[in-house]
Amino acid sequence: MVKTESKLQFNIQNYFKSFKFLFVVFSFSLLIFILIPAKPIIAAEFFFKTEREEIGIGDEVRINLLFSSNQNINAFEGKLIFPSDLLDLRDIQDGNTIINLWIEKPKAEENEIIFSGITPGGFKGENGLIFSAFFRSKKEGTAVFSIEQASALLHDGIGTAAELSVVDLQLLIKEEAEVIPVDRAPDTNPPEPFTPEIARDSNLFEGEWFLVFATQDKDSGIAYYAIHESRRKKEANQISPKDWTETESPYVLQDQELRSYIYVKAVDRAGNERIEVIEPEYPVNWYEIWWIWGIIVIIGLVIIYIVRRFLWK
Amino acid sequence: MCQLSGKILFLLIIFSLILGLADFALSGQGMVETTIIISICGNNVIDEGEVCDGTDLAGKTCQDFGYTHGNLACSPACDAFNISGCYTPPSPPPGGGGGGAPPAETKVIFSGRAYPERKVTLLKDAQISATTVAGPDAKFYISLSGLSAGNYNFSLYTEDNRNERSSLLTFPIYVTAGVTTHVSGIFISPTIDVDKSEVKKGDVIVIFGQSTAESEITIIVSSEEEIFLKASTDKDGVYLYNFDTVPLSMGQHHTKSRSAIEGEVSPYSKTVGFLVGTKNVLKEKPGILLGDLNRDGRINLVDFSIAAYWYRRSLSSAMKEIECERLNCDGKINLVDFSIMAYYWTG
Repeated sequence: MVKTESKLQFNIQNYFKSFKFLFVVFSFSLLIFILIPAKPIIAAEFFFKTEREEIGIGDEVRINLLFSSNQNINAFEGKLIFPSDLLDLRDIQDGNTIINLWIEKPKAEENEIIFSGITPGGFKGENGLIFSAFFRSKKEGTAVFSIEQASALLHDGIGTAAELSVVDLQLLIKEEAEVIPVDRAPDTNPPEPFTPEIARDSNLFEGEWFLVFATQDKDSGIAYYAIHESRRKKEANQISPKDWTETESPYVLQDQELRSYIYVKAVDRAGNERIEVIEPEYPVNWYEIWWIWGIIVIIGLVIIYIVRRFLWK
Repeated sequence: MCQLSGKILFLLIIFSLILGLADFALSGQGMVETTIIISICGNNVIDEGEVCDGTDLAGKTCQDFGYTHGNLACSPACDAFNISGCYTPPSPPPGGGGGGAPPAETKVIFSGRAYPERKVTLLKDAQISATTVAGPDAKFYISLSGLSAGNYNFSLYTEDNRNERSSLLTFPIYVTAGVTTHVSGIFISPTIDVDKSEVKKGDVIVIFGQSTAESEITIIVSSEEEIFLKASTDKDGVYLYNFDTVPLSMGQHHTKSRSAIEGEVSPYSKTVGFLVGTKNVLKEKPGILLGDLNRDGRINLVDFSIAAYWYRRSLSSAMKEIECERLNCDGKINLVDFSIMAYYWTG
């Protein structure tokens, strides 16, 4: 009987010991769980994506600069740095970009590509393409791509800087690696329709009339814009290639009297074209066209001749 | 006893280590690092785990799915082929001419609630692409066709009975060729304003605006604790609340609102500020529209072009004045000014 009691007491002691043990473990773990701060989720991030992380010498590679954010961002800028001793920059494409308006269209300068632009309404999401850059490798080595002076501003009406991180990319260039050409999808679609607008402002071009325009191409991106002004209405295919003036927005109009038809051509990198036409604000009247007067004079002279030659008699 | 303590200590270390690692993993640190190498959907390249990606269809065509015509597409998640653009035209009747189904159109349809009989504007990649007028029940419908496949940034806004604009509601959408994309259940946020820029503590400030007809409005007034107020819109979508400022402390406060009807809830409106002070000052309708550099009442490509011209240049005295009045007044045009412009953009 005594023995049984003692055994029972021992079991109870064990039970309390194990309970105490569990309690201590649980409390301690809870404390650690609370005290070790969870790393904050990155608000916005520039990062790269490539199909291959190892290429051969003379190989072409596409590097996509991407952006993800869990906050609404409406302005972006930065400088993509690449090793120009290892790689030649062949092309930059901004088709399908999340940037609606470029302040500085991606442009190469030695070993960097500068870019800045805005997205009215903002962008919030993952894997938004900023632009693609195509490189050809020159020699063996490890190419590191990074972004400097990166900035992303919140869509909050005051341009607050978002918490931003940049993830670099390493690309291995090896002599023995297989050379695989980059697969570029064919672009057969013209750029998107757009509406150029004529404007005038005392703070720009000394108050002269200018034209603004912008569009996007969802495949290869816009290569360039060209403009043709004419007081005579034409079919777009009647305009000779030499009569197009390659330009950028804003464009100061040659015809400051706004009496010309304005043809604006957007051409993508595959050569597809979209032409938009703006009717003249003050069209030329028929009596202001010299050749109509020329015809009238000729007809008049013919009539006079006929009258004098045949009817006068 | 000593052995038991040793065991406890050992178990504590192991258990804590497991929890610590779990915490570390849950914090997302590992995920951030891997985002550079995980496959992405939308780059036109099939990555690991993807069936297709944008224009990269792994060499498949409609013919592989038993159709003779049309455009095969990839699902937005890159996990399946989209065959809705594929078709097989019916055989021509004997002796008759040809025929067949036309290729499926690529379009996007937007529908939802705005304000009763007010204009709704749709922007496609920052430029106005369509406008419509909402019905008396505030419902609207816009169909946009002739699009190419690709990523688009669509935005919608409306204007209230005082021509105040709502916030831009933005939808980044991947449009697939030959597919009609429906964006339904859109609920444009209400407009909001107050009748006083400064209100004497204890007096009433009127908070008002417009939303969809006969909806419930929740107004939030910032204070030490946020104050939630309820109002209803009338058949014209107008709401008004006389707010007693007794519970508010002296100083600057802000208010915003949102609308709810039939289980649908709008995003929050813009935020407006007012001061609780020692006197009442009626709020004047602002004649200045932020971002509107050429003062034409719109913030669009013209304003963008003016700002782009002065970007990183030293400003003329006239431009300095405009920059101070309509942008952030730091004496230069930089990315922050463009961000302000993008926020107030009207197209």
